[in-house]
Amino acid sequence: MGIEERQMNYSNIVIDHFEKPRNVIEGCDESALSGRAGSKSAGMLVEFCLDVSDGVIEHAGFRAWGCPHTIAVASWLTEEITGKGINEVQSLDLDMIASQLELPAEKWNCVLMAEDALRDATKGTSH
Amino acid sequence: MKPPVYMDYAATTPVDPRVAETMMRFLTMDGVYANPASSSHVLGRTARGYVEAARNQVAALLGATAREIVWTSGATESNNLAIKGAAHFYADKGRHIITSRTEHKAVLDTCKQLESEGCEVTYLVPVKDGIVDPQQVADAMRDDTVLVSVMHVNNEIGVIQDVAEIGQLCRSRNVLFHCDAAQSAGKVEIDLSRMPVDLMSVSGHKVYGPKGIGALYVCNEPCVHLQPLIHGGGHERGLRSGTLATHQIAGMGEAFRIAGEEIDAEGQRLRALREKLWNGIATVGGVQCNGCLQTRAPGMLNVCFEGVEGESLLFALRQLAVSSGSACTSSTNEGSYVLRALGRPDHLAQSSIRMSLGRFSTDQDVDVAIEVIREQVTRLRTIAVC
Repeated sequence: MGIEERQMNYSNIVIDHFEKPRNVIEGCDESALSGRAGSKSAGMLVEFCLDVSDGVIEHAGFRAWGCPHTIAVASWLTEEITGKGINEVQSLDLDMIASQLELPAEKWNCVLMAEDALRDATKGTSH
Repeated sequence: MKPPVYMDYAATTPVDPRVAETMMRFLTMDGVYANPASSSHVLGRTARGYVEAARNQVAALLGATAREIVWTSGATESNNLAIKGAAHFYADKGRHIITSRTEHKAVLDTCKQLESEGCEVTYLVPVKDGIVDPQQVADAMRDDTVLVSVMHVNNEIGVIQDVAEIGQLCRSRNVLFHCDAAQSAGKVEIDLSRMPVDLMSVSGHKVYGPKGIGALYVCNEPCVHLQPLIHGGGHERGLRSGTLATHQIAGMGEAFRIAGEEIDAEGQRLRALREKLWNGIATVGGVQCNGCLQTRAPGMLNVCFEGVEGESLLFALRQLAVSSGSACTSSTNEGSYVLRALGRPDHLAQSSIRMSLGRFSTDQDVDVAIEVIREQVTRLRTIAVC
């Protein structure tokens, strides 16, 4: 499916997060947990920055280079994981995220990339 | 929902109302609907007269004679007829063809087909700005070279090739020269009485005429022979059989007539609009023009934006009807092969958009485009991770 056809397939929630991304950060404090996944040559690059206190994410921020789905998934996840424990973040349900954002099957890799970035941010932590 | 600002005239143009009005006269019972091949009655002969008048109009824009114009279904068919037709007819002379990597797919895929039939094809890589140096063509020529095919204006980046020089070179080596002029006819001056071109492809729908009609110029002096692709009836001097679509042909003729009348004024106006557009979007920073900025068709601009991803860019700019790559290849979602051939890295090739202005583009359209592009590129860069 080409770009033109896919434009018709952006769900309202994807468009909303693409147009008004939540929790975009300029940089990440040294005290925060940060992680990234992907590369520009792979077509998407996602970075998360998590402020964690007592094993709970108090604030999540992101930056992303990629398609509208990539940006929307990362933006949506920052809202979803705020207030959650680190261990919950490490076991996110891919089906649920894809379903919430009404992602077409060929865009599930955007969720996988975001999950990888979150795992990278939380690696070495165990609560 | 408000329709987007149309900036994709290189993909196709709306039919000029004057052309549509002309075409209407060739469809219904009260019009000239007869088969132009029906020479046995006056209605057919009348239709034939209009077909020949249109042939003259197309020839006039190209500086050709009417008998050198062969009707086809469009530039893709013209390219196929020119390249396959020449390769097949002159197969005994040689089986080597020279073209460029930045040609339209209608040329490249045709050459690939000929490779599968045993021809050898040399694909030249244009120099940085997208221009094929005639010396590259000279260096690639062999004793068995039968055809060189280089386009006039590139469909993605709009640069103008030195077809006069390449044609001269081909003539001096007794090699046929085909030129795909789908993007240049009516926009850039063409005078085949002075340009040594043997075969030239043109299209109706790029010049505010209808889709589904095109023409191939086949040089009469020196006389070029082609093996036809379509048989059945011997129309068009045996080169392209099939009932002539009078309404399409009359429309293309009228479109070419108007283009000839307005080429200077329109070119000047579009050049000014394009410069305004370029100057406006360049201020956002990190913008590069793909292809030589000076030697290009008046309304075409192809730019890449550093720090933004292609699909997001295109979606963010949906208020503008622009194109990523050419219309014929953008649906594949690959980075443009033309831009990659020019050495652009994949991520920059993918964040490139082609904006092509045309007859109905306005100053206000350009203002809107500048504002939207500046706003959206800045926004996407704010989100982007380096």
